[in-house]
Amino acid sequence: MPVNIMLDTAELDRLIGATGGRIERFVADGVHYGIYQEMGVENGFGKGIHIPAHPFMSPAVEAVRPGWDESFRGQLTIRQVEGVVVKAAGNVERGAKERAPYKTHALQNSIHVQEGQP
Amino acid sequence: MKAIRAGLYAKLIADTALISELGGATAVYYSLAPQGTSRPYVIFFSAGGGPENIYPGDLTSERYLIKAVADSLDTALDVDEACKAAIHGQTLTVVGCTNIWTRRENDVSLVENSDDGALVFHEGGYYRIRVD
Repeated sequence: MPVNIMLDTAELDRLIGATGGRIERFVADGVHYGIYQEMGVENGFGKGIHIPAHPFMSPAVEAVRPGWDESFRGQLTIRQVEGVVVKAAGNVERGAKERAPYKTHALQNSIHVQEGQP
Repeated sequence: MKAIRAGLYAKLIADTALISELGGATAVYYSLAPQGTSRPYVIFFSAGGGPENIYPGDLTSERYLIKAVADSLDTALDVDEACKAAIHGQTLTVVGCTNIWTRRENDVSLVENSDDGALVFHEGGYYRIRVD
């Protein structure tokens, strides 16, 4: 005999929604030329010099991405989820610093994690 | 992965609409255009990724930036649209692998303000390429 089972998630959805807020971290650099390292330059020094990109931020994100979904397994509280996000942001920061081209290390040293949007 | 780069390049230069937007030239370059190349042209390069290692096969997920470089925003956007039409949702020929996913993920827009006051417009996007 078929039995229909319905799951009413309305109250659960309400509780989850009531936790509020977004857990975000931003990884940014603090030098004006970081974007040009990431993207490349086609008119360098105003003399038409092409400088290839040295992407450091995108590959750092890519290195963290494969384990991203799995890392939330068993993380049930907001504080636990925040811990995953903070750790991932730290890993992106570290990866970007490892990949950033350097001469004076100013770009490397400027890479950081922050809570608000840059 | 060399085979993915070759597949992307082949797909781009085979697209007649894109080549038309580039003024008939196959001005598509990996990482660096030759010094003195006149704009517009297309630059693409690897932006991370690699083997997924989630099963014994060879599933690989790589991310590429493909961007138009032009002296005007309008031209850059037109070339970028042609790139998107040529790549997004298409199937690449990747020697030794099967291309199972080719999608544009994020847009990129940058105005290069050079020391000589000239503006160079970069318009493009990140593309996810998965092969197995």
